[in-house]
Amino acid sequence: MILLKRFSNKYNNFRESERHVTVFLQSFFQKNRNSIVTTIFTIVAIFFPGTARAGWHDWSQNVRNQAIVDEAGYWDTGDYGGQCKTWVQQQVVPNASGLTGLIPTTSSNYCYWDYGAYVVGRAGYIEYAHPGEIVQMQLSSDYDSGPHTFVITAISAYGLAVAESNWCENNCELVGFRYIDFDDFYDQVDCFTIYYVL
Amino acid sequence: MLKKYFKIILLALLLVAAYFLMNSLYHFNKKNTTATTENKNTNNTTSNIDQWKEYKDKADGFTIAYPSNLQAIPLDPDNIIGNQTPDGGVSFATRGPGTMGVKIYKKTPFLSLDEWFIQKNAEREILRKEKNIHIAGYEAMVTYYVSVMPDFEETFPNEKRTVFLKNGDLYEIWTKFYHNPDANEIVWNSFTFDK
Repeated sequence: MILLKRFSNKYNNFRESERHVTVFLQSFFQKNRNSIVTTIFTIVAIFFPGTARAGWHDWSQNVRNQAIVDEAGYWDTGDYGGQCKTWVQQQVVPNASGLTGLIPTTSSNYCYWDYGAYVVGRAGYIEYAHPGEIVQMQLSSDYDSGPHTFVITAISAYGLAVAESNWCENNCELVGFRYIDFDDFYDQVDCFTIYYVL
Repeated sequence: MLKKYFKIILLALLLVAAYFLMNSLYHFNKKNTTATTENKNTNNTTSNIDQWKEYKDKADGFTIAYPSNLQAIPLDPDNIIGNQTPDGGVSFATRGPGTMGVKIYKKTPFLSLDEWFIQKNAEREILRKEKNIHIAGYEAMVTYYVSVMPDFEETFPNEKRTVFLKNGDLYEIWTKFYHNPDANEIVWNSFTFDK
């Protein structure tokens, strides 16, 4: 009987301890939920590159833009990139963000994209664009009025450096880098929109 | 009182009316100017495409029509274009990206157009079949680019690659007539081999 009572007391103590641990863990997870999720995402991103980057949407716009510049910079001149819009839509932005489907379809007049929840476009002067922003444009008639898409990698007082695919006369589908003088840019376009990716 | 200020009130009303009249006239003129510019651009594009030239490739023995505003740039077989190495052909471009061209791959491993189509879709970019036609008497497959995303896809129906096989050689006619899709027919119908 004494033995049974002792066992019962130990069992009750164990249950009490277990309850304390459970409460502690619940409390810990509730209080630190965001940190835990971020840590898990970071570990996943480190060990499984290509999966979603931890908190792409939580990063500041400067950091997101820089990630896009970095990704464009990883490519070499002459790498196979495909068509210009597809390279940005399928390669640069997904590789930078770890997310697909951020870049929406292009409108029928080629000057801007259709609505997308994660892109913000603006008209205005190209001089005020930032590195990491993406330009969708319709070329002027001197350039046969087709569409083109590129990533801005740098801006100077006189022009912009861009990373792009398929800027060639033979449908080469290769990645290239150009410096475009502002005046040349305005000669090349009929209309354009500058986008940043959220 | 009202009689005393009648002239002033009348003058003010006239000034307001004049302002609205001038404003309406200004916007009406501006709208007409914009419309004229747009029409002018469209006409320019159409007139360019209305005038065609003929390109004769002596090395590979074919003839093809191209819009007169484009410049013919023969492909250099020694100049490798990425992972594609055409053995011949020509590009037609203005100062920017090309608008159309021909690429010839000699002694290609593909026994049929379907084989080529499967191989191309195994690569990164995806093509979709549009239709089968005949070019210079050979059965040809018209395809266009597609960008497939998880929730949607973007099609580029004006960015076409049309291919046909002739004696083991693969001929690819690529076209990007964004504003004149009918021009594709002219290009396809104009392609002939020298006898």
